[in-house]
Amino acid sequence: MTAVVGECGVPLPVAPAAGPVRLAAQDTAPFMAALVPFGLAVGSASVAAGLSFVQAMYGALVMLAGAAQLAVVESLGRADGIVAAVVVTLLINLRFVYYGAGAARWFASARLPMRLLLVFPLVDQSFLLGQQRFDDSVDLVWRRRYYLTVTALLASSFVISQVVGYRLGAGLPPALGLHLAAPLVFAGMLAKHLQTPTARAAAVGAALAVPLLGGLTGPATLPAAIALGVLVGSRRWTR
Amino acid sequence: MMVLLTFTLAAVVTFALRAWMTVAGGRLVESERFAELTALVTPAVLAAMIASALLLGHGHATTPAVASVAAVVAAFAVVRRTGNVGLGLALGLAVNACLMFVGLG
Repeated sequence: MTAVVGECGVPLPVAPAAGPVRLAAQDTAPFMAALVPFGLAVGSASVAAGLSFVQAMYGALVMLAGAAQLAVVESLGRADGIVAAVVVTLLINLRFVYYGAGAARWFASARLPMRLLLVFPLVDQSFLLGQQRFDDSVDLVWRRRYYLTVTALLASSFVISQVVGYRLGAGLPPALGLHLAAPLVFAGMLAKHLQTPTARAAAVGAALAVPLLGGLTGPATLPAAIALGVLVGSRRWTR
Repeated sequence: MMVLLTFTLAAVVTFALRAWMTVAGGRLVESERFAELTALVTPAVLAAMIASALLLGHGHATTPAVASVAAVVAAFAVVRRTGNVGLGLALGLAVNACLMFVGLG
């Protein structure tokens, strides 16, 4: 990337030499490959939870948030109720507040309605790529094209793999263990979120709380276990 | 109808979290304590969801299947080593299928 220097020596935002669409496609390819099995998992979990095709696709399109969508699907399958599903969504997606802070900086010079539209499909991968590509020398038009290309590629690969997962779901033999897809994906994500002792304490606390609270707190078991895990982690942090 | 309502409410909550900083600014997120606490939520959520999938049946604690636990451990170990969640999922499913095939399901 090259920066043009303005009158006072301050770099002016310019478009990088490489085209945003091509660069976005290159950057997004590995993330798309990782999303396909996840999409298949969510699609087959939707079948297992008894959702119709329309319901499953509606969930995919309005949420655009894989882990939370999977949690809602699992919650619907267990008939936990609306409140439990929404609380779990809130807890899982709390990190989006940070991602939103990043997007607010990237698109600060755009008008508010445009910024709200741009933030709607923000996910882990697009946040990571934006943080990597959008330094202060990149202009708004380039950022917007790059970000929308990343978003379109991620969303289409995730939704299409969900369609395939849904269509295959009922016909797949139980030995494939696709009912395990959700905990397996969560285990993988957990492996990436245990960098600190406080995070490990929070995870262990929450995991142990589930069987201990099971049967006592009913549909509130999950939010209660999460709250206990955060409490355990924060007490360790305080020390 | 309840399914669509649940997804709609979950989507509204998700969008509110994404848009919060765009609308309200970044004062709260700049708080160090808030950042520390929020960083604990993700591991707690993920661990609780894994535990509930393995250890709860109809709301009560149950003994998990050996194949399921081994698959989750394998997925965790692979992602810890490679950082690739897709690979972890594929290997976990393979471990589960193999153990079920030899009668450890």
